[in-house]
Parts: sequence; structure tokens; C-alpha cells
Amino acid sequence: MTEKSEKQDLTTRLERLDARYVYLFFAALLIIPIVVPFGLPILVTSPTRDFYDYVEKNVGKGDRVLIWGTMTTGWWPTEYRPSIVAVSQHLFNRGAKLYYISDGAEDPLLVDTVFGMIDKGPAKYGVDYVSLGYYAGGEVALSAFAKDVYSLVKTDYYGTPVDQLPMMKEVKTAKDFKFVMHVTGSPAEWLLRQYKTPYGIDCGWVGSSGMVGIYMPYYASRQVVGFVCGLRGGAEYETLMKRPGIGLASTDAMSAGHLYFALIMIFANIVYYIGRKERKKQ
Amino acid sequence: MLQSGRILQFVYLIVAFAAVVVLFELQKKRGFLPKMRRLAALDAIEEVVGRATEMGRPIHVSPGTPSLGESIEVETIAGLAVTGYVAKLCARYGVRCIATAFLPEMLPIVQEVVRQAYIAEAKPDAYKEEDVRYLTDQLDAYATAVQGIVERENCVGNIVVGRLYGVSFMIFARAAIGGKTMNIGGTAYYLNVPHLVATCDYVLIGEELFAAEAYLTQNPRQLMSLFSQDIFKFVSMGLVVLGTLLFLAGSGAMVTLLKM
Amino acid sequence: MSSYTLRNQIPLAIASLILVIVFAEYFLAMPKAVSDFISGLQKWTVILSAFAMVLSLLSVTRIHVPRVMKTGANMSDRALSAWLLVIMVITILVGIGFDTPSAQYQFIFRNLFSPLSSGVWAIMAFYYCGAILRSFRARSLEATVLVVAGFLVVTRNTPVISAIIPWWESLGTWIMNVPGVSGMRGLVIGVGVGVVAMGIRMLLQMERRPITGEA
Repeated sequence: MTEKSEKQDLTTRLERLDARYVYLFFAALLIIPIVVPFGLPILVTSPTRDFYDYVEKNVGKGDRVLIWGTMTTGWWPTEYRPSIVAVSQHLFNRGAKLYYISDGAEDPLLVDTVFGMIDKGPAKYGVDYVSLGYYAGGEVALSAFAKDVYSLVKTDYYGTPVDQLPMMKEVKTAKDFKFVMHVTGSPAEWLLRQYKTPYGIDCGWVGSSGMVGIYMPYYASRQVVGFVCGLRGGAEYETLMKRPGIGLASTDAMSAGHLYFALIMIFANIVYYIGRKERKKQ
Repeated sequence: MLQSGRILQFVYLIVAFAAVVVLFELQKKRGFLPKMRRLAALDAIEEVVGRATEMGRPIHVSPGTPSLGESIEVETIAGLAVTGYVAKLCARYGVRCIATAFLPEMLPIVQEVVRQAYIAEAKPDAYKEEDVRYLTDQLDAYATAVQGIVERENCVGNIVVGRLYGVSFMIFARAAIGGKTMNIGGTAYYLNVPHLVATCDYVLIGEELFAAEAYLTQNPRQLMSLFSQDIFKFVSMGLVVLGTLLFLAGSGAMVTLLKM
Repeated sequence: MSSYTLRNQIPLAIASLILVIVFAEYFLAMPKAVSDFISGLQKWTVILSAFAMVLSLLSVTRIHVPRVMKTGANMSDRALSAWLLVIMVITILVGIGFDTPSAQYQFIFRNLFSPLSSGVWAIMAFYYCGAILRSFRARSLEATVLVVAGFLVVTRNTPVISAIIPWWESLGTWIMNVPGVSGMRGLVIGVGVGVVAMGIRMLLQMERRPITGEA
């Protein structure tokens, strides 16, 4: 076999590389940093920092914070858990009154999980925090709640009538909240259309990592105080809180995965170009 | 009378409404019809149906995956238009059309759209209700289920156009391996446009989705409505340039105007 | 009254009327009765969305029960459909009998649903690999721009690179904030204009599909 045909053969084999080898190496690259953490550094980005600073400087004892959730179980371990746990912990530390409500069917169960993961300190259920359950309808439910809380909510998630919950007596409409968060992979505009634009309430997002590009224009124009997105956002928030958790523990794997994607891009293009040159010569 | 902060929006709506009506009248009186550029993704639908007819394989079509509470909104309506068109072509050429709905409340609408398409082609008996299915309202499960349908039923085309919420459509890349299935995707939801570009053979991006019905039916009123959209896009561009110049000159007039 | 009027005209008229009322309520200062009416409609939407799940239940049953009963069909298909129906019935019974906050329901959610959902989501990572391998090739000028921008943004999102090379983070952030955001804003404006045009078409009863199914 000539050197030329050996090269073509190699290029063709690389172009037609079985994707399973790529997947196997990728899996190994993700598992190793989780088992043996490297402790790679991370940089805190401005949307997360601004969100943290807002909560630190503007949310205090007794301030009412509404948290609308559309969390799903699939995205929970990596996209939501690090961020929502860190943010909830921060809000509890600040002594805020937290009202959790859901427009996703799985969200109340995940909110329950959040309650189990954080140190609530002296906070009491029904007085300092409440889970109001799931209400179908998406943006319509957000809108109905904003106009009149009691039109939508009759009981909390556990079936307790809201008139038996002291903190529910303090809210009637969206105007009674200091800060509204949407924990979501849902459209960004819901929060702005139903809370920011009509009522002028400060808003922020805790979202999945893919939403960064979507949130950025609204953050750049200061329509939201900031956002905490995905695993990296959670890790950044844990760094700011000085409270390492699952987010920081997973950033090594995240770094490895991203670097691998970058390498695959380079590899695929090099092989493509070499193959193209060979085909042109022929 | 008008709520503050919404005056400009109201004015825009009235002007847009008036423009559409004026353009309809213009079309009626002068017979003016704007020309549209080619949309490869929509042209490819006929190619897919042709392949399906030759090979005797079915086609999967879906009007998208809106999130709950948004079930009947504009991208879904555009997706339903494409679904209806695909169903019509399938009815015409005797191709099996498998349509799936993401939300339970979408199921009767998709059923009706597909059924009406078969009736329009004078083949009401060819319509099979079991080929219009509700799968699940979980994104990952839906994408996997669609992939399962495409692979099990050996579909020649996978057409998913509408509100595509969620990133699970990377799964469609699986179907594209070996060129077994042609993927046609389309959405105005910016998060998913890159995913579709990476996984689909043909893509409808952004407002091309809203042009779908006008392009496919060549209905004069739809075309004039599309023309009005283009006019307002130019108006928006003009406002952006004007606003930038005013801002650079130190004037907040445009910001004040937009806050009205 | 003809069936065409009942099936098509009346629903379209109701839809147009509701559209006008909702528009008017948003823009004009309306009496409280109108706002209460709109709130009532919104509550109905929430209720209808919840009841639509009954439809989904019927649809799933209608697809899978015949599959299970079909003799001579593929055994694995029948088994999977049977399994789906069994799990569906158990989950519904537990949810109705014990309610969703109960330990029993939580058991199903945490040990069955959650790992499955997370597993499917985890598979996405491998599909991303495959898609990058196949699609991110600089075949043309546009594809080259896509590859370069993708590479910069992927590496910008890598925590270790941004910590070691801060200016790389700034470059990636600039790409997202300037060309990325401006492109997205253009798309958003175009889509927004399209949405308004579609709304006007619905008001003029040109878009009938969601209501009547006809073009």
C-alpha cells in the first residue's frame, strides 16, 4: 500500500469514526473528575454576581420573595439543583419570607427536596416559607396570581387552607412582593410581561444553562437584576456564598466536558480538511 | 383612558391593524401580490413526501412542543399550518402520516387538522385516528418517543415545526445518521435554533415560520399580511437607528417614547 | 342553525370577541367587572389545562391497549406497552389515594420518574458530541463563523479556562453580548412583529385552524 493510499485510508477511517468511541472517551472524561476531583478554579460572572449583590443588599428580614418554579426532574440534578439550593439558602440567611409556587407538575416535589437540603435556621413553615403547590396554565397562572393571589390559591401544597397560614395574610397581589424569581427553562418573557412591566417589581431568573443567551439581552438592558444559570451559575453562587456544594463539586467534570467538545470541534475540522484536500487531489 | 406605559403599544397595534386592512384593499383593487424568496425547508416537504411515496415509508409530523399555558399560541398555529399541509400531501399521494401532539389539549386540534386535510383531498376514509397520537408532555420523553416512532416505523421524514421548547431535539441527530431520515425543523424560539441547525437537514428560522402558511398556500391575504410584517420590520429598523443616533446625541427622547 | 355555523362560525365569533375584550382590558382602563371577567377566563384556562390531562390518559390508553391485545405482534412491543399501562395505573391510583405529598407518591417520583428523566437528559450530552462531530464543519463561510463562534463560546463557558485566561472569558462574553445579543434582538423583533401580525390575522378570522381545523 502506498504512503498516499495509507493516508487516505486513515483519513477515511477517521471521518467515519464510530461515534461510540467518542462517547466512551467522553463518559470516562466526565466520570474521572467526579471520582477524583481536581479542584480547578472558576470565575464568577457578572449576572450571578449582580443577582447575589441584589439579594445581599436589597432583600432583608421580612421581605417577601415570590419564587415561581417550572423545574423538571430531568434537569434537576445539574441545571436547577445547585442554583436553587444556593439561592434559597441565601434568601433564608437574609431572613426573607419565601413563597414557592409552581407552574410545572414536578416542581412542588422538587421544592420539597430543596426544603430538605437547606439549613432553614429559625424559619417556620407557614410563617417564613410556604409551598403553594402546582397550578396549570403557565403564563396565565402567573398572571392570575399577580392580579389576585386568592383567585388562584386556596390551599398550600399540603392541603392547608391559606387562611390558616399567617404569611399568606400579608399578600393580596403581586405588588406585595419585594422580589420575584422565576426558576425555569420556560420563556423569559413570562416574568417580565406579568411582573416587571405591569408592576415594576424587581425580577431575576434561576434558569438552565442554555438560557444564558436568552436572558442576556434583558440583563444587559437592566430589566432583571441578574440571573443564575445552570451548573456553572450554581457553582458561582456557592463560591460567593462561601458554601461549597454540588455545583462546585461538578465544575471539574464540566470543565473536562467543555474542553472535550472544543477538542472534538478542532478534530472534526482537521479531519474534514485533510479529507477534502485528498479528495480534491484525486 | 389608556393605561400609562401601554400607549405606544396601543398605537402600534392600531397602526398595524390599519396597515393590514389597507394592504388587503390594495391587493383587491390593484391585484398587487408581493413575491416571496424561496424557503428551502418548505420546498423540501414535497421532496420528503415524494421519497415517502416511492419507498412506501411513512412521515412523522408534529406542530411543536409549546410549554403548558402556551398551548395555542402563534408558533403552534404556524406549526399546525405546516402539519395540515403535510397531511394534505400525504393524503394526496397515499403516504401514511403519523402526527404527534405534545400537550393533551393539542391532541383534538391536531386530530381535526389532519382529518380536515384528508377531507380536503376527498379521502376521509384514509384518515386513521390511531396515527394521530398524544405522546407525553415531558420534553425528554417526547423527543425520545418521536425518535422511537421514527426508527420503529422507519419514517422517511421527520417534520417538527412550531414552538420547540427545550433542548431535547439533539436526539433527532440520531435519525439523520446514514441519511435514513430527513429532518425538517423550524422554530422561532431562539434557544432551539442552533440545535435545529446542527441536527436538521432543513431549518425554518424565526419569522420564516410565520411565512409558512402564506408560502405554502399562496393565499393573497396571507401574502399581504406577510408583506405588512416586512414593512413593520423596516419601521423597527428605522426606530433602532433613530434611537441609537438620538442616544449618542445625548437625547433620551426615544427611551421616553418607548416608555409611554 | 346549520352544523357549519355551530362548528365554525360561533366558536370563531366567540374567539374574536374574547380577543377584543382581552386586548381592551390590557390597554384601556376598564371597569372592575371586565377585569374580574378576564380573571375568571384565566381561571377557566387553568382548569381546562388540568382537565386536558384526562384526554391524554384516554389517548395513551387507546394507543397502548390494542397493542397489548394484538396477537401475533412483536412481544417486546406488547411487553413495553403493558408495562407503561401498569405503571400509569399504579401512579394514578397512588396519586389519587395517597395524594402527591405522600411518602408513597414521593417514592415513585424519586425512585422511578426522577432517575429515568435524568437519564434521558444525560443522554443529550452524547448526542451533542455526535452533532458536533458531524455538523460543526467549516464547509462554507457561514459554517466557519458558526464553528469559530461556537468554539469561543464553549471555551468561554469552561470554568477552568475563564479562571486561567480571564481575557478569554471577556472575549467569549463579548461575542455573546454584542454579536450574539444583537442577532438575538433582531430575531426577537422579527418574531414579535410576526406575532402581532398573526394576532391580527386571528382577530380577522383568517387563522381558523386552532378552532375549526380547516385552513
